[in-house]
Amino acid sequence: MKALIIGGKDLKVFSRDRTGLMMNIIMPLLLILVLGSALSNMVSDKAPSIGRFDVGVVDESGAGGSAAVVSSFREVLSQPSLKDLLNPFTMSRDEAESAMRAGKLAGAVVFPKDYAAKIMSGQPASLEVLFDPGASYLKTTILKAVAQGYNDTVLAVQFAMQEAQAQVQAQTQAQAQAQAVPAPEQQLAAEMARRAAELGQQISAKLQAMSPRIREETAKSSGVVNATQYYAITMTVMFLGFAGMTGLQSIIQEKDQRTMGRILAAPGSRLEFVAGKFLGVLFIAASQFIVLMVGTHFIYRVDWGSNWTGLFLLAAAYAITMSGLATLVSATTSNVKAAVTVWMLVIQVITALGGGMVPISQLPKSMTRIASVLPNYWATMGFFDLVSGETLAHLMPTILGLFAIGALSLAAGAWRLARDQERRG
Amino acid sequence: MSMIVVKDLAKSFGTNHAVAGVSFQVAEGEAYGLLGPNGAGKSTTINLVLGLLGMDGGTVTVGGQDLSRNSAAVKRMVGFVPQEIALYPSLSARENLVFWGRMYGLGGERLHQSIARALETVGLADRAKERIETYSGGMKRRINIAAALLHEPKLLIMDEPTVGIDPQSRNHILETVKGLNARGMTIIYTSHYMEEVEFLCTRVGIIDHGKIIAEGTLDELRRIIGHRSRIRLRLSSNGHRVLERLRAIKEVEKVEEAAGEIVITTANPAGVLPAVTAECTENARIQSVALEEPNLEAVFLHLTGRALRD
Repeated sequence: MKALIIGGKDLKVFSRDRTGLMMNIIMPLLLILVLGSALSNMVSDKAPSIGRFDVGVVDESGAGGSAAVVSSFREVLSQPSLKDLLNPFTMSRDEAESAMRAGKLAGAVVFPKDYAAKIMSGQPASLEVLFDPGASYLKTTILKAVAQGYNDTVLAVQFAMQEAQAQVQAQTQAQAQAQAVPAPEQQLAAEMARRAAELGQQISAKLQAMSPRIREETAKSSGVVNATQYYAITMTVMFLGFAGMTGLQSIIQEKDQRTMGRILAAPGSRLEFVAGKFLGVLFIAASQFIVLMVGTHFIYRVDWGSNWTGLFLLAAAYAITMSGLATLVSATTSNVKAAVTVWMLVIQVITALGGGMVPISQLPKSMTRIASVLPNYWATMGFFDLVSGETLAHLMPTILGLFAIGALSLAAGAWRLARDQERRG
Repeated sequence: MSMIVVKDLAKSFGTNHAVAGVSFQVAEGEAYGLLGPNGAGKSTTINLVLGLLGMDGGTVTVGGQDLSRNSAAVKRMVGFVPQEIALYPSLSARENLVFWGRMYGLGGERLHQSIARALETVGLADRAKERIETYSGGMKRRINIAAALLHEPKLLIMDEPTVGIDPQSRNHILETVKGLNARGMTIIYTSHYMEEVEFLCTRVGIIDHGKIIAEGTLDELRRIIGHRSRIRLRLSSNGHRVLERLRAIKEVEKVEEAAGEIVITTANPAGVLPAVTAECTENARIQSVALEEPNLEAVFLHLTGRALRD
């Protein structure tokens, strides 16, 4: 409760700060307009034409059954509808990574060591997709969609097989009991063969159906690469990072003005104070996100898609990461001006690395490789995915990763803040 | 009955023993002054009593509740006025008070009544809607006090609440605190202004280098130096030449040189003054002469050899 009161107070203080409002709300809207207009030639808003590109197929299992699985995957890629898009090469993981580093390969689909064994034994299994962060967003989207579609199909078939097997066994046992004679093995085998044939046809139909779906996703994703939309997302991510700075300033001010001491003199714990400051940043970031989303939608006609839950969860996760990092920075510095300057510089550098100034596809590979480990890159890619119709489940690893970074840095910051307060008195 | 009992309180920062075994107790309804120069350990003692710092040793009991065992109960009984203006400048006085009231669990009608009462007490009810950043230093100090009164604390701890304000605002604050004490509120008031402590407090603890070096009522403390007055002389030059001659004057008990002044302690100031001026004018020109009746400043000087504001 105390945390909510502190968070609400911080939002009110933020709303009274004209400079802060200018910096966090008006400035991003202007930047989206300026960058979107100036760099529209670098980010096409027409349907993309990416041509055929190379993809790696890595089989790490190398055991019984894996060859058939990998072969079926290659068959999918060789269908007419995908043939003019994807050019598969069988290779090792090292070769795939080396080719990606050299910029010769957009990505690779890896069949893990136990993939075929898991499929055969009826356990859940998943494919790994490697991709070059510097590769076109569209290419990686296609590759991920193909791998996901294939895996979903295999899992569906695997489930159907198990069901069929169970039904056949149940029927056979019932017949055997009624006739008081053992079920002939031949009958069971025949039934399994019939079901297998049916399922084979279903597999084929599903694989055929995959291509149009991928085409559809490709068409949908072309909408992302609209200049204003692109910068609406990258600028929103950058300014959510600045919201973290607002939190940083706020915590340092509470320390300097001794309002922090006064809050701690009231009933409640230090944890409630830190949680309150954290909520404050979250409230500010959420307000900022809503204003930017609504503003860009109505002013620039930006389409943010329909996955509102995903958008807000991702924005919250990123804001939590940045406010956690801000808490940590504020707790480790006694110089507010230096901390704010460093934070602003860091945000701008990581924004540039993550394609916030110049589109990712135009950046050197070395830069995008660095960017791929930064939280703002994850958030930017996550927003692109959501806007292009990805599901929340697909984004969960990103969201959880951001939450984890935020929570860890917040905990470290809270610990440091408490120790500093104890020393300073 | 004691409202607060502080026993053997200790806190060190590295090798600096900021508080080294401070003990005192304050009765219900009493106004207790903690007097000492800057850096004596007053604020650290207050921070320990408030639970803002972890103590290295000792105990603090407020209203029968042990701070280390039941800090929430202790905090509910205590109101704290910090040395700094711990308010949010961009919020109005009322908004600040709403926030601080909620920090103490107040809400609804009770909160609004408390705010009205606190604003009335500090005389700023008509300016409540204005932002703190538009207030004068004195007005900010008054709201700083109002924020500590909202939950009607039994014990009000004030850490140098008049630092850096004009005399008029200072008088207003002192009268306010006097009024609160007259209504039964227990007060702990820290300051390095002995006049404030003399005006407000019935008992005083003098703190230096993290220790209480003297404690008692104002009369008890004055008795430490007897009914001696002090003559302060400022000479144009070479004051140290006359020190021995001054010490030889009958009824002069002590002659010291501090901060460019000669300080003469005597029980008969009127009797020795002619001889003192005669000795001084022989060697130098007298720039100023001041006579001081016994006060806490003299007590502190007597006990430590230093002035309170050194």
